[in-house]
Amino acid sequence: MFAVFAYFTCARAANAQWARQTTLDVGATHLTRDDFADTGGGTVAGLWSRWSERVSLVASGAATRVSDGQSTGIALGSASYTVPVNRVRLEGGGTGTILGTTDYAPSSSWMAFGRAHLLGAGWGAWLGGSGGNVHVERTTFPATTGELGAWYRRGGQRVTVSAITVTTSTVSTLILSDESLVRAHDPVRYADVSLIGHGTWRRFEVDAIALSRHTWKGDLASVPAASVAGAWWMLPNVAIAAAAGRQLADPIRGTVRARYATVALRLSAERHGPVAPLRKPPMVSPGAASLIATPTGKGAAVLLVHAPGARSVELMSDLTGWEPKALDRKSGRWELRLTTQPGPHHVVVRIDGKAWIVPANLPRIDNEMGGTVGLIVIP
Amino acid sequence: MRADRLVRCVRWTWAVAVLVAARSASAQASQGLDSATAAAIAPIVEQARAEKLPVTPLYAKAREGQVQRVPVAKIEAAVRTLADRMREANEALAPDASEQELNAAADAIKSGVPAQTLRAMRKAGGDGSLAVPIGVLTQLIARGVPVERASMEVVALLQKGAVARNFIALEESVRQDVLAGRRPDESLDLRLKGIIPNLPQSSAADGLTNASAPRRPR
Repeated sequence: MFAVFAYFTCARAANAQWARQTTLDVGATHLTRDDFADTGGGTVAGLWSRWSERVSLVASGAATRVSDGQSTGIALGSASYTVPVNRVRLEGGGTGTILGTTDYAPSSSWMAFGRAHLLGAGWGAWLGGSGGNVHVERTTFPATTGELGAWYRRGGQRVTVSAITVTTSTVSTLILSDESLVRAHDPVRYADVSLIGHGTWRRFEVDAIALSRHTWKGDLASVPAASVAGAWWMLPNVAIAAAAGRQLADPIRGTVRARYATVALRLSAERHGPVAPLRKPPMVSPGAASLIATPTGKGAAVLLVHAPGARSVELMSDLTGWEPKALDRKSGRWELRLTTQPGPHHVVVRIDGKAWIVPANLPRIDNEMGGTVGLIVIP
Repeated sequence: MRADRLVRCVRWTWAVAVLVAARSASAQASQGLDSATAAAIAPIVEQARAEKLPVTPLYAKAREGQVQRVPVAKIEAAVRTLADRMREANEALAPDASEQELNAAADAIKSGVPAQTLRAMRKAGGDGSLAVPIGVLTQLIARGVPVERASMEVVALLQKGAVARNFIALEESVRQDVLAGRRPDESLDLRLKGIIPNLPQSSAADGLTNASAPRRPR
């Protein structure tokens, strides 16, 4: 409900173009927890994510039923809003987690966070912190984190390095001789230093995490951990996904230390795999414009306009029912996404509200009504 | 007897539903046109619909004229001319021409492409959509490549198995050459040399052997 409200409110506020990711995984998992015997079972996991230049919304969940009849379910949600200030982006938001396990009381956490991002061309760094409450076994205690990180991206590959310090507590339940329960808080303070790699090669995606934990206070082990996850998109909307590795205990989310291996069928609402790269519209002089069209699949295309120095760009075409449509500015170019079929179309553009003109790179044809239009062919 | 009544009833219901749907589509499509323009083009649209021609391009042409504040008589003439070209295109691209193909072919005919070339393209292109090749043909002519020359080369490319991206790349290359000062027909020659070796050569389409295709001048 909150996500839907935030989606529409923020979309209107920021006039945003949304990117999206929606997946559902159905598969099998094998778990080895330090304090339990090995278990295996079925798992279902979903991810709903929407983000724009300013707003990010994520909701995800997973449910696992293992062979001993135990079930675990976890739901996570986060929402954030970003304000640009020159090259810095100030982000504020909140996250929530609920974890439930058969025979145990559910645990939850609610955190508010703030981050300052410094963005370059193909790289970024951030500094941030968060604070909130964790609710475990009918007790509530505070948690705070501090984080510092950086990323570098080249094509479909990205590397991220981060260090996160966590100050919170773990809860131990003691059963006394008179069968009464005593819950003891054990303060913990630790830092996780991680190296994360993400790569995309045509139909194949892989994520790898190497993490080292250093505990200063409390009984959490100072150990390394690593995991790797991959997905192969055999169809644009269907993939085989697999993951294996070790996860460390997370006192804020309530998850325990375990080794795992999972294989699943992943269904996605969005298309994956190789797509035609976006070409650049030809260079033109100030006051003029050039226009190209690139298909994005499923009868959609993106129109890209290069108009140096323009403050606003509008487009009018048989594609828009000859209604003027304002284009969105994205990293130095102007773009409009449309649903259309391959073939030729007539088009004119307007820069800064001046006269309608034919884009300089398009051939001009007479419209037989005393006007001239550009002829673009959408592949 | 009862069965006859039922069949008759279903037929009437179906006929009424089709009529209502057609009127509803017409009302939707004509939205955005002022009443004078809508009335002026109504007979042209009705005739096109009766001939099973797509009417959306006709409304789009009228809308284009309206936003440019063109007099109604001029809009009506432009829509009539477009309908005539689509009719000619429909015959040339028979039996199953899509709306995109007819739209593209109407532009091509306006640029001077003969119906014979469209027929040759249909024969060479098989079941694939011709909207992109015909659109690129019109672009090449608009850039200054002579009609006969452009027509011949586009048909030849179709015969050799060229696909949409080949045509788009060809047009883009010719544009760059023309911008650099090269003659459009020279550029077309040059660029075809780069594209043809990369096409899947089909055995039946080696050269312009098709009688209905335009012939290469000797």
